[in-house]
Amino acid sequence: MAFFRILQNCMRMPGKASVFALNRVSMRDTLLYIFILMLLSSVPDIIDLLVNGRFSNQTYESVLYLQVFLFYPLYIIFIGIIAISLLSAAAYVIKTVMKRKLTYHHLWKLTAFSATVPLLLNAVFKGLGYRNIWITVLLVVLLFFYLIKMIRVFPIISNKK
Amino acid sequence: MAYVITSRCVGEKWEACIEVCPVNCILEGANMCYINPEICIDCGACQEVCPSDAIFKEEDVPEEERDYIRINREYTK
Ligand code: SF4
Ligand code: SF4
Repeated sequence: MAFFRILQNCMRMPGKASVFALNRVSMRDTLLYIFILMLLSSVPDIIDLLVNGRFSNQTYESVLYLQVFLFYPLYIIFIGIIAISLLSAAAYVIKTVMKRKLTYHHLWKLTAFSATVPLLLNAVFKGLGYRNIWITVLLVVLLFFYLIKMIRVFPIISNKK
Repeated sequence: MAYVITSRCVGEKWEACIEVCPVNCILEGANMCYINPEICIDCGACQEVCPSDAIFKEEDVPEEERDYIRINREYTK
């Protein structure tokens, strides 16, 4: 399955072979991959919503399920797309400074793949009950670490088109 | 091992591949584009964006298209 193949390559990042293998992943598969990953990483939140929502008398069960299984995933996907798009814009600045020729489309994919380990770690931290701003900062730093390493895989280009 | 542009590019020339190639090794010809195998770093970025599915890894080029390995090499010499 494409998801596991991509995940496997993301875990091997930022090695050249895995970056090049990820380059060949289509945009459709990249979007699907990041949706699944974001949903997996929000499992602790979903459990939290279900457990806390179920025991609150104010919440109707049908509303709760709608919230957990429809609105929450949609919200997560929306936030994820916005976040990756903004981080890709930052990556665009980085690649310009690093003198690499990479398109925004290409960087968007690299950013999505760089988010793999931070998103999974985020799920683990949330699952263990650790939630604070420093963890978020640490995960963003980790994402940029992967991203910069991936950008460095491409050679410096002087004669830009 | 480089990437190769095959006959499916002839007459299409969307040029999406030229835009995305990080080492500028794709040349535009009169009817199609060509990859310089000496410069290609094998990154695969062009293959993903080609709307005509014209680009293959050298070892994956279909039998009937294998002549394009030589054509790409000669055009970009
Ligand atoms: S993107 Fe595909 S069809 Fe377009 S020029 Fe490149 S090889 Fe040819
Ligand atoms: S594989 Fe990479 S380096 Fe080679 S032609 Fe395609 S985009 Fe350029």
